[in-house]
Amino acid sequence: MNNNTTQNNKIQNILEKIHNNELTLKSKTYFRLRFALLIIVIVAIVVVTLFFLSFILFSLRASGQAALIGFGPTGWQVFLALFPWKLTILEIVLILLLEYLLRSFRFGYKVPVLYLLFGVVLLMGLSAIAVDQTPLHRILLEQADQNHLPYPFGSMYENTRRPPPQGYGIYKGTITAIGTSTATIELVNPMGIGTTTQIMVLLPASPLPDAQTIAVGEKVFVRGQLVHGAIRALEIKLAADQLPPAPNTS
Amino acid sequence: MTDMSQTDEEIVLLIQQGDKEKFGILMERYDVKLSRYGKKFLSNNDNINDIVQDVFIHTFENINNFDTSLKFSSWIYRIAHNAFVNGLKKQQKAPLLGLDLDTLVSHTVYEDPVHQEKEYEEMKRLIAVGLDQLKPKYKEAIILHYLEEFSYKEISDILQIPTSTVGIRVMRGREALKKVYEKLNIHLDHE
Repeated sequence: MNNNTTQNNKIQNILEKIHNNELTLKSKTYFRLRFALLIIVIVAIVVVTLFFLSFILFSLRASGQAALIGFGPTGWQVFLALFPWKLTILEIVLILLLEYLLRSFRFGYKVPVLYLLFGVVLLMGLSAIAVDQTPLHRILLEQADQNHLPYPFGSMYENTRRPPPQGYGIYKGTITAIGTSTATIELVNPMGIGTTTQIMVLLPASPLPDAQTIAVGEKVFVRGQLVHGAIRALEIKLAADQLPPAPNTS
Repeated sequence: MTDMSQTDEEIVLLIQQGDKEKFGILMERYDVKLSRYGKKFLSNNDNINDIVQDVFIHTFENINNFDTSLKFSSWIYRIAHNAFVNGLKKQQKAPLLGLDLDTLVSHTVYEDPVHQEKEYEEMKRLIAVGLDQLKPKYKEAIILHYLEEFSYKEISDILQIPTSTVGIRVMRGREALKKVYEKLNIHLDHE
């Protein structure tokens, strides 16, 4: 059998199948539904991405964790230990998935991969900043405090109040009294969310910029050594914490 | 049977409106082209014939998904390209194309119509010698541009990569082919 005959047979074979309705066209509705499903998936990913990304910004801003960086290497370690890594990894996966789905559109594959990725990250980042300016996460935090949020959202919001991990010599507390060389602070959540402990702080000998501005009621990070039930402070930084007190505070 | 007065896109529109038998015209137009394109990927004629048949069936079933404001040739070549690459993957265990650095950022490339005709003749001569020695990503760009005579923009739609990446691949493929040719010349001279 030569090539021409084979090719003619192939065409005739397909035409016969079309004629006998053995081969049918997928309807336009099928493709419209598939397209709509793709759009729904993309919108859902965008919403989830924005929610978690704005939550990360909210948790960093509201907990005042950025102040930890001012303590130098130890502060960085605590900052990184408190950073919501699991959500960040989830965010990276969602953004890569979004980029992959956008590449199925003509405008998506026409743009170099890095440019599209940069565009997606920039757009998501700016939108997340805008969402962070709304009261959304503060309201949800209140809902979490009242146990109205399902797992894992409840614990996700409660984690914004996590105290610095033990062993780094950094403590977070609210100033309840202040004198010339000592202060009393109420450690925030030392034994779990919602617990407090009063402790004396021996203020640093040389006044520090933040030490001059601290006042009763403010939340601070204290770097120092815990000696005989008191903290000998080396540095104090304002936490700029905007979180409301945890419920059931003892 | 082939009616040259109608464009591919006009025929597709008729098929979408219910005149399914018109698909025969499209098959006649593309059978030889797709088989020739397949030969650049696969060596087995039976395989190529089977794959082209599958391409036609897939094209027919999904023709309602084609936007007639675009070029049909790019669309059917896209389907054929995927089918041939899958066919090649079955032959070779190694993955053909992974993440390509060329697609990450933009490159400045343009098609120069003044040099095009002379370059086409030269390239067709070079392709005959060294095509199989090129990396797959350069090989497919060279085939589509010089043998199938698609523009960078059309190749961009077929391979679903940025137009600038197509330009880079064609340019690098061309340079690689010239090197192969030079090497062969040196070798032949010594003989």
